[in-house]
Amino acid sequence: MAASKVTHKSNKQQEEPLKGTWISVTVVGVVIVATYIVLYGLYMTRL
Amino acid sequence: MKMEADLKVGIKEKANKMLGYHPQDAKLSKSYIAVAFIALLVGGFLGLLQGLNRAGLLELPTWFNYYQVLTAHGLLLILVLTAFFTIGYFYATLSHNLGGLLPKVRKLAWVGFFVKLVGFVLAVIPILMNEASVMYTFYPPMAAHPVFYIGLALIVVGVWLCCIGAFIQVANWRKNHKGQHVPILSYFATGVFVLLFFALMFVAVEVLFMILPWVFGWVDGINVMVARTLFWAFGHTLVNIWYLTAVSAWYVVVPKVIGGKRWSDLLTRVVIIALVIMNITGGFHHQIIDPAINEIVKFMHVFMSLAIGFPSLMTAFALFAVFERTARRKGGKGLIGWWKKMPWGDVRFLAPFIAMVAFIPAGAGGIAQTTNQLDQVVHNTMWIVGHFHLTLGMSVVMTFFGISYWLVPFISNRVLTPQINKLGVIQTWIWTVGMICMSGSMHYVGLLGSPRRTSYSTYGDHATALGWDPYLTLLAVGGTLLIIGVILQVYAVFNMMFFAPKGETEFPIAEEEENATKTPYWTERWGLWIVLMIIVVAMAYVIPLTDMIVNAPPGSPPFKTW
Repeated sequence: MAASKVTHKSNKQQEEPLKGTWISVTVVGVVIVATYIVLYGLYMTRL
Repeated sequence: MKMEADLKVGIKEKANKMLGYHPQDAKLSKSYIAVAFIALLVGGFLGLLQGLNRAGLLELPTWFNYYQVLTAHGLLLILVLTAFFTIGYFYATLSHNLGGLLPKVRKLAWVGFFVKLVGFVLAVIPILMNEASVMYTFYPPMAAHPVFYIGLALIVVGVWLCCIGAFIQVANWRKNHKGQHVPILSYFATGVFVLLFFALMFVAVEVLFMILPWVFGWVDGINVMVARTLFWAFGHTLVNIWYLTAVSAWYVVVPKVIGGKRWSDLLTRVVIIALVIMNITGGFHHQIIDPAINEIVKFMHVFMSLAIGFPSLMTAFALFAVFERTARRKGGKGLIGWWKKMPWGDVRFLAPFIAMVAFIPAGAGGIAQTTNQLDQVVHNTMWIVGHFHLTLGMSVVMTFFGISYWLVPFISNRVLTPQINKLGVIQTWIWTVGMICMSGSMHYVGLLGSPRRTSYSTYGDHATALGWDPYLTLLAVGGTLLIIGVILQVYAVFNMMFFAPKGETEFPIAEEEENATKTPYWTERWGLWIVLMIIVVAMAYVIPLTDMIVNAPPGSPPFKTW
């Protein structure tokens, strides 16, 4: 029982939250999409 | 007395061995790094002259005009700074990781050093004589003095010698360490030297077999499209070689500096393999507006260029994860509160960190430019110059600066003092603000139509051109801040090289997580990665190059447009 608790705790330690990482990666994605949309908008208006 | 001295020498040698410091190899790397930063100083001043001229604040004399300055600035910073820094850094890595350089490898690197220097001097002389204002891309049909191209050819030979030296060093280590993985930073070095070796073949063919016979008058004309294509197969790869060099520090050094562990070793090696296999084929996206390349080929190259985005996104995830994991282990809380736990006062972290952040808009701009229609909005405008300064001037060069604060003390057997660290932090912020002003205004004024590679002109006081002036002034302000940054950086490097207190500095290489999955051995199959790279390159280039040669228009004679 105790051993199982220890294993459970160590698994939890391994699964550290990476929510901030996902938010940061989302920001990267938003910058890419926004750059694309802005330039596409300029392209369309200048056609 | 003699025994005591011998003992001291013995202890010193033992300590050096423990640290992976080899004095003869350190001297080699120090020479490379010194040349790199001298190039930064001279190239930086030339950049300031250009910035002031573009803002209409400085008229350059006829004997040293805008296009001479532009060519020299490009050559110094794009070829000399990057090549010498990359080789100095990775040779220090190979020496440290693989038990010291073999004598023949060291000799090859020294020969390469002097061949490159001679080549560089030969290239610069015609520029100073106003006989080679062809800019660093040296596109035909603009033709420089033959000595300029001979200089370039020698630089290529010099870099090749260093590539061969690195291959010998790694092959020797692998022979003596069968079944082991090449240490991760040396694995990065291998990838970089493989890319350099193959990418240089394209530009060597262009210079040796096309341009030199043409400028010597042995042939009447040159196939401009073939020459441009060969240049960009090299030029595009070179950009990604700088990127891969910077990424090596992001993956391996920065985690150690912040007190963390490396992210997955397997993912890191897969990113390197992907960048090696897919890199060269992106060259056509620099020619996406060129005529004479059919749409199917352009589609293929857009796809191949965008493919490089995937390893970059993997890198973004891995690095953010390393930061978050390390900060949380240090007690960082909340969704973004853990950022407070990062060592913001340590220049070895701050400079590469800002470099990484800069790569987000830089990469986004690069992805957009890869698309034919979107590139039409920005093609040959100042936007491209801004993009280039954001990628090279921030993401790559700021990482180089960050590396210098531990590499230079390491190879000089000295230490990074708190004063120089503080100076480095100040330099980093000055550089950041300067580059935001300069690159930001370049991007914006490019969207307003301001062309690149053109000295200041109001085009007969045309309203559109006059509307660019405020942004061009901001560009000059940024350039002025950057030269302050250059001076501080060069001072810091030479201080750490010759005047800082003696002492031992660690070569920071982060360990893997304790519970990390074992990296499979297939990642070491470099022969396979090179074959795959050649197949991908053949897919991308054989048909278009054949088409350009078979259906070639009449060759162009040389032109001197200045």
